[in-house]
Amino acid sequence: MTDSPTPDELVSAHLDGEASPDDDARVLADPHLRSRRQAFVRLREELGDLEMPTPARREANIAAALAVYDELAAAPAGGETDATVVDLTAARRRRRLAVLAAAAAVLVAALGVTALRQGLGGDANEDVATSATATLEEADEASAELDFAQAEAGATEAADRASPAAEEEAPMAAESVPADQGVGGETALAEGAPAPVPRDLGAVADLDALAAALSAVPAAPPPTTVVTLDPDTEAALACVDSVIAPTDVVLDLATARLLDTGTTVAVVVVDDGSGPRALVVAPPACTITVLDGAPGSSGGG
Amino acid sequence: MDTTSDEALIDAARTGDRRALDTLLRRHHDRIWAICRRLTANDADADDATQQALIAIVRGLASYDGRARFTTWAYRVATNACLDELRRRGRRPLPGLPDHETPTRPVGATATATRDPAEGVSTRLLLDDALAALPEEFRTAVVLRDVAGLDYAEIAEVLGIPPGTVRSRIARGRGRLADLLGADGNPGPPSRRHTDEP
Repeated sequence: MTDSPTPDELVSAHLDGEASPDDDARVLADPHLRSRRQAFVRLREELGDLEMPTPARREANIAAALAVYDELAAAPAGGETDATVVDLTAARRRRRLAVLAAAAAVLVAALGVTALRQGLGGDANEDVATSATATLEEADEASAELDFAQAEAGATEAADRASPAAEEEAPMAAESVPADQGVGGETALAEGAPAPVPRDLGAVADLDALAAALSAVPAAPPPTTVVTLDPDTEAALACVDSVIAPTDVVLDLATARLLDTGTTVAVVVVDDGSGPRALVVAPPACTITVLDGAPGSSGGG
Repeated sequence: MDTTSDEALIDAARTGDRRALDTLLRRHHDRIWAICRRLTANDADADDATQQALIAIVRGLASYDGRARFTTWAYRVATNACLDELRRRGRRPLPGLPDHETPTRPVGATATATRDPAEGVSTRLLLDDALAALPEEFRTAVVLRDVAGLDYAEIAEVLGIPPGTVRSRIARGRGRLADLLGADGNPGPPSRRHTDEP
């Protein structure tokens, strides 16, 4: 691989004052490169030729930022937050159950359609049979997954079930979450209280700002519906599992967008008996950073 | 015009001087908006992104440590806010003009030296289209150089890439834009004649 710059690199660096004297001379001596230089100069002028926003827009933008400043100023500086113990494990189980149940419900519907087609068609044709077999296999897999999740959630009766025929198991799976409570934006969760939703701290500049936001943004009221999270947030939350030890008590959970890295991270405040620590977990590698300066954080690096 | 340095304004804002923050934000608003406008290629997205950027700057003020120039830090925050805005909407920049303006010339048409209002509108649309067609990494590098006025080292810091990569991205971005816009008097399909030279 050669390090020799392309003509555009030569011209560009020359224009920006980043070229060597030799390269400057080369650009100026070559009519072709000089022409290209002119094109880049014109381009720069056009890029800078912008209609600025109206005064009203400018004022609105600045007012919004100042409002945040006022909120931060009004918030208790470094004060203790009212820690609400979040049963994250239960939340994960419920989320998983809801997803699996919804998947099972879809399979049940598919089975129903298949049966209907068989009934209407009289003699079962081959493609219907193939479809039914495939669907049953998928349902079997789903029900096995569901059993695992239920066992993990402490549903011992589910763990004791020895995976009976899929056509029986799938309806059971569907029953674990009522039919009108599938996964979606406005549907309620099946089991008791809804899963805790992490506080959304919004976009923050960096980790220090994240620490400040953790104490400044008030806890959201308990959700009553399943909230659909964006993929970045889901990825961050998926990492949370990897940082919580069995002995940890989860005191708080939040997500935020770090603007200096462009990543969505999860912040989980845990107490392992030695005091609360705020951990920032960043996908995709689930890297962990102990958040200094967060309320209840015992520091670290 | 207020000649207080950015650093002094930041210090004052940190101690509760709201007016200092107001001055700081006003001083940098238009440049941040310009960065966002060029990155998002339309006014509405630029407004949203600018507001997000200013809010992020306010939230991060306490953590700004002065190691980089304030503008470098602020433009990094702004750049990420703009790109974030685009990603959040799940799309590339959507070229657009203010409501009262009407596009009059497609991408690839010849730009002429004469300027009248309609010409200005079409040039802006052409540029928006061309920028939107540019890969994000090229667009960002060119905007940080030609709109934000950062040098290569600062752009490298903002984007977290080596200066050599900055140099290459700016050159390739400019090259593609010039080809798309016919800015060298040779409109039409992107030309590769320069890059083929030794």
